[in-house]
Amino acid sequence: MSASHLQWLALLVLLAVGGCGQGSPVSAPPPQTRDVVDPAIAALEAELGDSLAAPSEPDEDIERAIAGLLPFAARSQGAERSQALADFAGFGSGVLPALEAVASDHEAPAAHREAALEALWTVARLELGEALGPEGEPQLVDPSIPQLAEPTARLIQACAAIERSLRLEREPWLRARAGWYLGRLGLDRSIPELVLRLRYETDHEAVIWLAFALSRFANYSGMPGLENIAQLAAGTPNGELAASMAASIAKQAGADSPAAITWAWEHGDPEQILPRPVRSSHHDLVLWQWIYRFDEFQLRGVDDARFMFERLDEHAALLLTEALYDDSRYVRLHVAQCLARLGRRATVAGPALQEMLREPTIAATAAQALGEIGFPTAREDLEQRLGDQHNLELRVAAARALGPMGDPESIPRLVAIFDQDPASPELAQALAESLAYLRDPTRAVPGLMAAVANPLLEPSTSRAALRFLLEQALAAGRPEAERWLGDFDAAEGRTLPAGLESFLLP
Amino acid sequence: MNLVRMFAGVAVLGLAGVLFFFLLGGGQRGTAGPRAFSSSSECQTCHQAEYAEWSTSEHANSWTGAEVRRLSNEFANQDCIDCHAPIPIFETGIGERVLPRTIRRVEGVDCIACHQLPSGGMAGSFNDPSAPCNPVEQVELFRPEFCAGCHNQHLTMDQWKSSRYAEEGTTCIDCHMPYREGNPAKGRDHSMHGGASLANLKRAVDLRGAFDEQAGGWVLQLENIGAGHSFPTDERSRAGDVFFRRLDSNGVGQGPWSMVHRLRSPYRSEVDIPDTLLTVHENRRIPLLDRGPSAREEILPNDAPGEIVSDPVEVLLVYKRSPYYPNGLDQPLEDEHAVEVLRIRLER
Repeated sequence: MSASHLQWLALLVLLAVGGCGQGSPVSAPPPQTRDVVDPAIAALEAELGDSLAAPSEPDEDIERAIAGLLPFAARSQGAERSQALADFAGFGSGVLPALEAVASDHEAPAAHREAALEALWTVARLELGEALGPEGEPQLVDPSIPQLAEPTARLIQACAAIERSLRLEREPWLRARAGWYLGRLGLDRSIPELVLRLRYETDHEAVIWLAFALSRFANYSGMPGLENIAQLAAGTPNGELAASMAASIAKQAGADSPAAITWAWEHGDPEQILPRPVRSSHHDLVLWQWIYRFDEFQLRGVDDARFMFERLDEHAALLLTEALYDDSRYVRLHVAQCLARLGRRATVAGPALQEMLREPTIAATAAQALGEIGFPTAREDLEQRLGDQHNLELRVAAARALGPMGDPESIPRLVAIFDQDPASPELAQALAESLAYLRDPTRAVPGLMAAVANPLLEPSTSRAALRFLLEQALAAGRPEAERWLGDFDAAEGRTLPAGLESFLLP
Repeated sequence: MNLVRMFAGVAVLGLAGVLFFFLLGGGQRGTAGPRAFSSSSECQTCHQAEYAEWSTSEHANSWTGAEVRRLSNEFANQDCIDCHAPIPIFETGIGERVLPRTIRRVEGVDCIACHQLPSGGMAGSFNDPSAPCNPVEQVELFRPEFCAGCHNQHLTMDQWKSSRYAEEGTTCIDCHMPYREGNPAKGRDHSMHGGASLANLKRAVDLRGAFDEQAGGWVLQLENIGAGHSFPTDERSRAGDVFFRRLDSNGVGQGPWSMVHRLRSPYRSEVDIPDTLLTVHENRRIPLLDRGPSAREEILPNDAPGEIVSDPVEVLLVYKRSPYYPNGLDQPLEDEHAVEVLRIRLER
């Protein structure tokens, strides 16, 4: 028998003894998965029942009204226009698809399209029981507007028609209107559509009204867009509108400035300054339908869903946490990705993500998400994974997660692995990056320099860690770090300014 | 210690005995199982030609290539990762969507992504238990569905399915992985070029022009003569652009170029961009219109009005690996991501 055979035998005996010893989270079985998404959708559809009914087909009366009343409304103004548009509410639900058809008809006169979209909004307002009158300047109201307990099917249908206009309309000015209408209607089922439009919208005015509409639902993912427009278009009407809108939203939310509200939103609102409205079942149904799309073949729907969920709130994180146990590998993985992207707004998912460290298909992504959401309870569990000899992917993810988690107690464990043969350059890189974020430049800097230079490693993450250390040096009162930051940003890819290592090492 | 744990311990000891017996008799070829590979660079030792070809390919550059780094904002747009650094296709399943891996991303779409089998060993065109990687014959490697997990995200396979190539049984690898020197005995070329190969581009499209007396000027014909899918096939990131400029009295093209026509598919919800890809087998007639200075400054819709051109001109077809023109629209060939595919002169 050779020495290696004896080593194998010793290992197996150790494994056997381990099997008799105390259990640990690492050796526990993978969590049970089941069909989560389909039953969730079915339950909500059953709960919402009649309010999800489709509109009827337009009849002859409606066709006549569209042909006669709509052009009249289109050329009218003030109370006469409001009344003409309100007259559409007197027809059956078939008026909604008829109006939507005109609103989306690119061959129709612009005034007719505008009037048709406004008519949809008017019908919805009347369903809400609002008094009609001139709209005047938009007003920001309490973003924690209570959702109607039982919105009518007609209200939902009108809202959905305006949402489609926002998604499909080619004319930016009509998209801007649709965004504004959805914000004023205040049905939280529109949040995903409004957020998703941020992904594709290039028109400044439309972005402004999307941010306005989202703020009405206490969703502040439009704030960076407002701040960008305020800077890029400073001195123009849109630049001024974006700045004043950002200031109004911040004031309404009780924040000191637009930057403060953006920071609070992006960092999970640790001081709890932002409103936390209760979401409706209609909202949840739309979210579950988006989660369902994670299982699609085409990535376009998946990518849209990832973008959208990344910009939602803690309530969405709750739904995603449920979906983490779905029996579709695709759903589980993309949900874990979304939770990672939600960051500190998804701390509620911490225990479930920690459990998923034992689920082989998503363990690495779960580890990454635990780092991003900052779930300190998982620290020791992640540190154990650093020694997992069977799953390099999980070791690297765990190493990378411990840095953003921010607990310096991880440093000794990271250093211990770093000082051993760290199994792969990729693991060494992840360890060095985390040590940088835990402010241990002595260990981190040589590893980061080596990682940036190694053609087999992705340099951008290590560059970000080096940049973080430069910022820390500046914050610690080393003014020369500012020049180093300039030189660092000027050097791209695998190039670093000469002498950087000496500067960063204490 | 509870009974369950005691039982588990005994079971593992039993397993240890079995494996111990197995290990004592080990060392013979074919019984040790395939070697585990952690990097495609490990394939190079035995598969030098394949590795060298792959190293020059778009697959090898799918993470490190300059265009993808720029278009994905250094992969800050994480949505690109799924296809640009996938886990092995045999793990997610043939024809299924791929999933992203979290390590070894720099290797892009590598040997492991296409060949590694979940049960160990590598997919290949024949069985060889004696080889370190233990290749196992997998006919799925040759099927279009194998490429679909990534490439049908841009509908390329659906475009091919509607073509006569699909009817004739000409598949992805017939064009993109031909036999080396046309000889099946030499195996298939692993450089797998598509639009990165000028020769491929020239085989894909033809550009002609004729004077139309009725219209009073030149009418172009742009025909998809060889691509088994639309030209270009990618949405968002690729484009094909037709430009023209007038010839001077010496028959030399003069001045800035003006855009005549764009082939591009909108990126998902880019609602204000029409889909103008040149579909498979399509022969498109394009009146050569001069839209004035705007056509040298901004990308106008293909149906934007203009005056039909009757002067002698040269016409240029450019393939774009990025839809933008950072150096200005009037100098299309100054863009590092632009490739001149065809240039014709039209004179009466």
